Amino acid sequence: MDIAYFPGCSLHGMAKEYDVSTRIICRHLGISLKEVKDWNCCGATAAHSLDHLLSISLNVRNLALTRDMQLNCLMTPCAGCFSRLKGTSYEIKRNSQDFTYPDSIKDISVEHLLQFLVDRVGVETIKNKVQNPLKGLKVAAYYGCLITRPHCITQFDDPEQPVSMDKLLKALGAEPVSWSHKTECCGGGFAVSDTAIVLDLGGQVLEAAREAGARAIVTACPMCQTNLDTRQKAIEKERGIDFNLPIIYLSQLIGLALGYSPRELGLNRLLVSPANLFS
Amino acid sequence: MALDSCTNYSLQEEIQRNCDVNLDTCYECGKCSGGCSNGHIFDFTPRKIIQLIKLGQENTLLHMDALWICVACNICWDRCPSSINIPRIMDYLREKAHQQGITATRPQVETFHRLMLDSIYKRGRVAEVPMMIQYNLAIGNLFNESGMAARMLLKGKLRPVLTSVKQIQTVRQMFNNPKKKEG
Amino acid sequence: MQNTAKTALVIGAGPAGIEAALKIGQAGYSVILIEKEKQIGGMVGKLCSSFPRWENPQEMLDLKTRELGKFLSNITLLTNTTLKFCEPVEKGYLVILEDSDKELNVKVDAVVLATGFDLFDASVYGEYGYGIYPGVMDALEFENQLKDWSAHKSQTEAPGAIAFFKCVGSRDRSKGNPYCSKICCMYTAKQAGLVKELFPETKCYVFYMDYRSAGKGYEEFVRSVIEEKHVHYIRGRASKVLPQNNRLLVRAEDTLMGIPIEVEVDKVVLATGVIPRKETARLVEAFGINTDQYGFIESEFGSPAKAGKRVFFAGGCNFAIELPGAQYQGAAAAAEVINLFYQDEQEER
Repeated sequence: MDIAYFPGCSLHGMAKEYDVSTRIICRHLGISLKEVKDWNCCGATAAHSLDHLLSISLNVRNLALTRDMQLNCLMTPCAGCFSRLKGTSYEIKRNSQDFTYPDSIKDISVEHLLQFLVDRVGVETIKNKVQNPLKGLKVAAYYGCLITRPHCITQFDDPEQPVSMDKLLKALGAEPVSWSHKTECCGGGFAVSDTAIVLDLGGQVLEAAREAGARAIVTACPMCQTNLDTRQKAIEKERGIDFNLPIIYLSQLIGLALGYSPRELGLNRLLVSPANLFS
Repeated sequence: MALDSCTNYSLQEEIQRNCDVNLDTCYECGKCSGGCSNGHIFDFTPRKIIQLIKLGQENTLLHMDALWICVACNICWDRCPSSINIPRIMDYLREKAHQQGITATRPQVETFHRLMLDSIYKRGRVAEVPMMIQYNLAIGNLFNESGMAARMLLKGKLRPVLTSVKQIQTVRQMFNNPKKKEG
Repeated sequence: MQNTAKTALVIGAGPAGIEAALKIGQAGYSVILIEKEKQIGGMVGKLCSSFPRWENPQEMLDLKTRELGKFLSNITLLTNTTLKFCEPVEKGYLVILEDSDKELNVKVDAVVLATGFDLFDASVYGEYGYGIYPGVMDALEFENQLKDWSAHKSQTEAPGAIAFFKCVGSRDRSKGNPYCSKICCMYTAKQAGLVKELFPETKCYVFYMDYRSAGKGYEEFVRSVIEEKHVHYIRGRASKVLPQNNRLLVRAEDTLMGIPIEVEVDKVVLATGVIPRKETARLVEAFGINTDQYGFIESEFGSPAKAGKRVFFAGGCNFAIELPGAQYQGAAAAAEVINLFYQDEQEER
């Protein structure tokens, strides 16, 4: 299967391990990822915050580049990029007279990694390839805001009580816990510019995961991962609680279950070490 | 507040036209505000923001703190019984305030956004390390987050490699879209 | 069954159907009253108290059952029975009624549909956790809980706090139900009031957009629940229910203050909207009558109890309705049938 692949800026930067692990598992599952040639930033939070037309144009270009590769399915592991790309697709279909774009880009299916794995590859297919089941490891499946919301755009899973990642984690042999903050916000793009917001909201997510008995949080968004991992120490200090919750990318956990080593999957790069989980 | 002069509909019409919403469908139920991620620190909750639009209070709206601390989680939009696209309204108001040169209540937030856009203009992508350096310079604190930076360096998370878009002109021309001038 | 010339088939033995059957039977015509459950009464049998007079619905049901008993000669009650088949014939319908072991073929001269309403499935609101968190229930389930508490009050530990959410599946375009389900404001006030009667120390919070009390004694009823029983009415549609500390955390906005609020409760009761029953859909197709876009029966112009040729209706199958309303409609449908039969007899002379 040939799929157009949109890594996004963070997967080329701080979330490199997300990119590496995604490539490893896709290759293992027989999926050929074709990185979109000359892709540009999706605009992330900054573009839609200050320049709506820019936020659309940036992604019209990305979709057009995908079309140039003669590919119909565009997959991205980044929830932010997914939201911007799919949101653009949705908007140009609704307000067609406001934007100029090549008509054929409307047919491109924009999918997030989680959606792609569950809907196209299939949970059963992945389950059958598990070499190293996760031995009932209690994890909290953290979907964050943008993989399922808003439902009118994402058209995937349920925005309040999603189950897709939980099903996938179960198939890997892990035990996804029942918890309250599956789709609560981690604080989004404010880690640097208004850290208090991330300490507040991210802290609530960590507390909820701990309450539910999770030993790790699994995420499919580089922003969520960065917020909950790199700010965990500061949150612990503020709340006077030790969380010790490794924040693991979904693709890394899948990679482990498929038989790859923690080092190959970049698990050593997490600030809150997952070493204790797999000893 | 003299209701008569506040209900001439023009701001509501402008928002409706530009954000593809119909604010008259608002049930005023507060489900948006009740679920808002940062609603507890907003100066005006989402429902109040809609009401402010209906009352034509443009000045208040463009000076709100809420504009700069909305996390764009989409909870309000997703739960609204009338499916009103509140995040788009927040974007629209923020963009208008920014274009009019109104100082953000959270200058660092605006600076961060602006620097990201500068990076996109320059090379079509954003890289964390140069971003952080520029941000620290802009806020006048070179050693901001240096502890964090050190930990990340040790873990190999900081990559000095900068990738760029080759057809950068096609990206740069998106920055001065003439359509923006329309109200 | 007396061999009178004219026979009406009444489908559904809830308050509307019972009333229709009684009036037609009392006028001397034959009635076959069918009910798909094994007991009659529809919603009434499930209720704990009633508004606006705090009356015992079981007493009302017993009264009607006794009245039916006086007319056994011409009202035939068949429980566990449904309509299997119908075919229009000259001045009536040929119907096949069936229960678990037998079928009955009969020609009827008029039909009254009184199949009642159902409640919206609240599990589509993932934010409320219905079907996921055990403390979250719908209004009918809570009604049952109230009956249980009333019967075992001394052995029950009073809950710390209960939250009632109104407009769940009503006045919600995004779920395809923009209409107001009419009765929820009243029954929610009743339910909250009953909790305070049973457990005065239990805090009750009603999260509302509006409260609609347009009826005789209705406004006074709601005010008494607020002013005398001290139920807290918070204006704001609840946004989320989160499990916390083995209880449930409710998040909403107090719109009168314009601030987000949170409260921990032990139970959340969802006043779920009213929808037509699935059985009604099958019957409207069988009898070829019109419904609105939600599946509720539509009346003919000028005849508010008439749905089609020799077909009338009453009660919840038309729209959300309270007990006296269902009875009025049952009587109105009966009047139509009685008049129809009288006209038939005049023509046949």
